[in-house]
Amino acid sequence: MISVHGLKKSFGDLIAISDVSFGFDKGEIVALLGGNGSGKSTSINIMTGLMIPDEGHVSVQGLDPFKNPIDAKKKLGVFPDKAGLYPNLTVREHLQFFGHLQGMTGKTLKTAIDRTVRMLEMEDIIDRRTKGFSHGQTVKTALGRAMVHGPDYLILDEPTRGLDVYAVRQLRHLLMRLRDNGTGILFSSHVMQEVSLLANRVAVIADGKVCAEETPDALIAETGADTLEDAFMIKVGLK
Amino acid sequence: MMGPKATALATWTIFVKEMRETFRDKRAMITITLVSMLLPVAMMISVFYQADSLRQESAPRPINIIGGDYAPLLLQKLENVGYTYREDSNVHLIIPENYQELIETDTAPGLLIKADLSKDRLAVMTLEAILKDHRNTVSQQRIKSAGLPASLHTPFEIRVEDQNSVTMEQNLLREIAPLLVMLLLMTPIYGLMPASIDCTAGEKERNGLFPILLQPIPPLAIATGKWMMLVAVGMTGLTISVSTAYLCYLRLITLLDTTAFSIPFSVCIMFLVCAAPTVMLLSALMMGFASYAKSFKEGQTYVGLFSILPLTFIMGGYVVEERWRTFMPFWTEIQVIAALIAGETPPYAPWHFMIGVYAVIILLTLYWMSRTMNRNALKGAM
Repeated sequence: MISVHGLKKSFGDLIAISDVSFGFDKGEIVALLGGNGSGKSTSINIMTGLMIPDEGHVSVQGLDPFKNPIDAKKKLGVFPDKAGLYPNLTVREHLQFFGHLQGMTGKTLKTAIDRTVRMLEMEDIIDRRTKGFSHGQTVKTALGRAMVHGPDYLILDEPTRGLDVYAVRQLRHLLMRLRDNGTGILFSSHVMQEVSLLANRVAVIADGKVCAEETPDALIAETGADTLEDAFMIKVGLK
Repeated sequence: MMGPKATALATWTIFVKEMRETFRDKRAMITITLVSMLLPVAMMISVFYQADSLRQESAPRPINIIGGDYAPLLLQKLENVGYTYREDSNVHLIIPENYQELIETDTAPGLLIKADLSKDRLAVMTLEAILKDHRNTVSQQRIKSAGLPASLHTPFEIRVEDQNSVTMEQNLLREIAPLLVMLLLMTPIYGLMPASIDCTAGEKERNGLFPILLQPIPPLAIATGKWMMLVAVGMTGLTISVSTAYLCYLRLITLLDTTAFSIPFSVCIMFLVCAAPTVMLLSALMMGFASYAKSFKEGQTYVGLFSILPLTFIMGGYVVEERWRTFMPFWTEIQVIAALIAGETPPYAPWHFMIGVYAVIILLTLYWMSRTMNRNALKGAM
């Protein structure tokens, strides 16, 4: 299980998050909901060990990512806010590079790359340099990079942003398949339809605090709203 | 914790990725190749032609003698030392019509040399020395014919013993070698500029540093891998420069028909070996500076300083006291390489000390980079 408890982080006078606590386990999909600047990305950056919180603690299957970053990071696959691909490398080279950094070599790495390419249907672009890729191709490559080593947990920062309907469907099926195979998935999103179709649970962040953590149905019932979107608006105090 | 083998593998993986990226980057490749090839060509041509013009200037050149018939003995003397006559020469020797008459009546005739001293100073000085020598001869003859002792004219002899066993061109090489080395050492800087900015500030701008920081590897492996790539780029640039300079040298000695310059090929290898610590230092410093920038453009401002920094230290070496000069970065290695080119014994001891200093600076820079990498990456992205 990955859990965060009582996270606080400020940048000068700006308080990014003041009380963030939630968690997710293997075999479930949790959606992190919140408006722009609510603290989603800061929470994810802390969870992945990139940013040190002012207060609070993070546990990645019992490991502290700040005291034991190497072992904690081995369990994670992260799709960051911005893909950050290397324009002069091919997709295969991307996967090889990140596989190597995860300690994979030889046949194990080759099998992992083949599996990732099949899952993401990237056969047509595998040997192309990523310079000039469409948004969909960029997302696929960044996802492949995050999952090539078969992590226990996937953390995705707005993965469906900018994707067309077909690509969103493809991604949804992929995440469901990964969940069914036992991967724990946390994703942040603004698209409520995606969240209601995918998430087992939702964690709502507003003003730097987690104000709800329950199943979509329970959230709708609790707020007396008709849809998840309405329930979210009520929870963050905009309705 | 990660074992040394796994850390070394991670460092190597980062190095390979950075090499692929840089050597596929047209902008970096054009800079490295063009600067490394063009600068030595321009430099070698200018040095060799300067040397050749000095050589030609100091040799007896054709002169235009007006009134040569009036001074047959003087003419004979000039011919004996290798002078030839040409009417279109820029150096004119004017002998008065009554030269012989004045000589015979013990009156000093005036000889006039007309020339543009800004162009022909050396030729005029050489001619003047020969004329003075002839004047001494005439004077001695007069004293002798008057029955006086020769010592009346020459109370003491002056003898100059030239201990320099090398040619004038080699002397010139000794003078210009430090400048030659300094300019050649500048060439990797131009190649390192785009590469160092691209692998730090540029990568940050493209958000490419985040995914690496999320991997289970120590940040020191990332910094070291990138630094290794920069050292490879710098050494590639320098190898191209030195090779081009050597090829120019071979071509120029054939063109100018001179064998006076003698630079064996082994000096090129030694040049690269001696310059390696400097390239390593420059790579670390330029990467450290560039990593502080948030964007490629900002990185250009910081790293741009490096085009003048070595020059500043080198020029500083000329004005500080000799005991401090040894500790001037870039100064010592230039002296070592210049001595190798000029065929002298290089000052290895201070150079070894400076290598130790460079190693400490490199390690501190890499350590500092690894400590600030996360913070800098986030600063670039937010």
